Amino acid sequence: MSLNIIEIERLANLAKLKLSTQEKKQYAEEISAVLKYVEKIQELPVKSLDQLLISQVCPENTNYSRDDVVIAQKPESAAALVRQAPHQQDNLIKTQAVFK
Amino acid sequence: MPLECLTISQINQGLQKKQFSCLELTEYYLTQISLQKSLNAFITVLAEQARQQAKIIDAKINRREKLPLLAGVPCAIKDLILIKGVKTTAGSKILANYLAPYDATVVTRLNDQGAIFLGKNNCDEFAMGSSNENSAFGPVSNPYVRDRVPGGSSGGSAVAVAADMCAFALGSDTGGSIRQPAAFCGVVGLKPTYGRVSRYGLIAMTSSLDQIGPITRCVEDAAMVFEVIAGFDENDRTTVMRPKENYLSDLSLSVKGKVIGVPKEYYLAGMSPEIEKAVKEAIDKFKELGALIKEVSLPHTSYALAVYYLLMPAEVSSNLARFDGIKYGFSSAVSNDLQELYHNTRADGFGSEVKRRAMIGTYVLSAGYKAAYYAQAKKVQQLIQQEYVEVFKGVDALITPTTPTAAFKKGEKFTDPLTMYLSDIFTVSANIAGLCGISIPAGQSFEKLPIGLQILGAPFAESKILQLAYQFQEATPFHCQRP
Repeated sequence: MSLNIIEIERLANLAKLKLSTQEKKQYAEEISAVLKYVEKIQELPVKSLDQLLISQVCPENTNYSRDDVVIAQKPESAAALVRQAPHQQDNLIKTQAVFK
Repeated sequence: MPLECLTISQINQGLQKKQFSCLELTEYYLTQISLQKSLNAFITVLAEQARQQAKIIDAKINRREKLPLLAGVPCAIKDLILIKGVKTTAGSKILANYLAPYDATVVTRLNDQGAIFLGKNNCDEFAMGSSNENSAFGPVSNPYVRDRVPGGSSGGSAVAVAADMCAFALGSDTGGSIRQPAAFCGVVGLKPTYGRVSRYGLIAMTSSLDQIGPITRCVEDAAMVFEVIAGFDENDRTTVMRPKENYLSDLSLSVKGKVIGVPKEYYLAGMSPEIEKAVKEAIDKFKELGALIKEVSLPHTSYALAVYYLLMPAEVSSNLARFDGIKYGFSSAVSNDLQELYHNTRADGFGSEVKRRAMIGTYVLSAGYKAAYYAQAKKVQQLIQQEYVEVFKGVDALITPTTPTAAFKKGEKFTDPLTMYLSDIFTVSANIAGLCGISIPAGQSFEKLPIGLQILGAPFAESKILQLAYQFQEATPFHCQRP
């Protein structure tokens, strides 16, 4: 699959990356080459995933549920995490408006 | 007593017998780090912290306290693993000043033993790379031949061990990032089975494949470190409750009668004839030791790399969405609105390999393409897993080369991503199929570059592969090679 500039712009937008014109060209080429390589998996006629096999390969990897109760965190944990934010105000993380 | 290239047992003995103090040993490694700064194996050196830790251990020794095996043993940690209060960069500009708010579980476990943390190792940005040329903090050099890469993404960790800058290091492996640099640098690198070691505090790259593992000078050191860091962790529910085995004490068990499979598909046209030869000689050595060799077939091996470069970017694009300039890390000053903040922060903060993989990931997950790419890759992953399940019914382990070539030159593959990806061709299957794998030194090329041998085991069969690795090590001189 060969990607054109429009498609790269779409991917860049999904990945939230600002790219220059030169970068768009470069990534279009490079990503197309990678996609061409990985497309070989489409040669294989595979049916749906075998759930039984998943449990055989690694029986220990089972889904785990716990009771839906709040497990309290230490108050200093929240403070430590808020302190990481580049912009803070009143112990809150500050950001641009989501809605204009 | 000379402090060069000590194993963990030697350190443990030396400290108990007071042949040297922990502080002396720590100073030795700090000097080694300083003298070899040009290798660029470390992003952060924790000199004062390490000295303080060493003094505490020396005080305990003086009080004749009984100490665990790793007490006073200086180590280095890949900069993808969090140490509380210490800069953790993931080799990226976007986390260049990020101070970890908590310890990774593996760090807590090493700390509980009394290990000394010398510093954080350089690595490919967010573990994306096979040469340690993708770090925002500069490339790392192979200590054997300086214009060669050390491998990646745990390049800094492998170099720190190979160049005697620490007694052991921790790396992480998603597609070969412990085993491949271990092979390129002539050291031992173990990738545990997925779920064997906690990922709590490991910056996520591919959550369904990532594993932390030891990089060491010898197999017994790998077994020791592995025993300490492995085990169920409430903070990472992908870890298993399965009890650990006696990895260290089981090393000396004989390999007589063990069946070793040699998969015929683990061959690449154009691969180094020296590596082929080294692997053939290793097979002969195992025969000498009494193992039985069996040719096996894994027909879907050639699809493993494609599966990896579909599943991994998909998870990467998801895992790296958190770097938005809002919660932590680098934030672009140019941000008139939210979208601009995201786009500029990530454009400035991420390197090109990260961007490339994030975009591949969004592509394979996007509507209209997900079935053909991501969902198909999951099905092929299962085919590959199925093959290994079948093969392991008849063998105890598999032997393969770790890499198709020895360490390549810096810049040689950097401009062609696909060529770079092909260097992982022998290592990715272990991650995709949920196996364990170890790379051990198996010789040197004509250019005096290390060659690695890979031993693969069924899920949770680390004991078997460590035994085989240990017996090979004891019967060969390759682990004694030095840059």
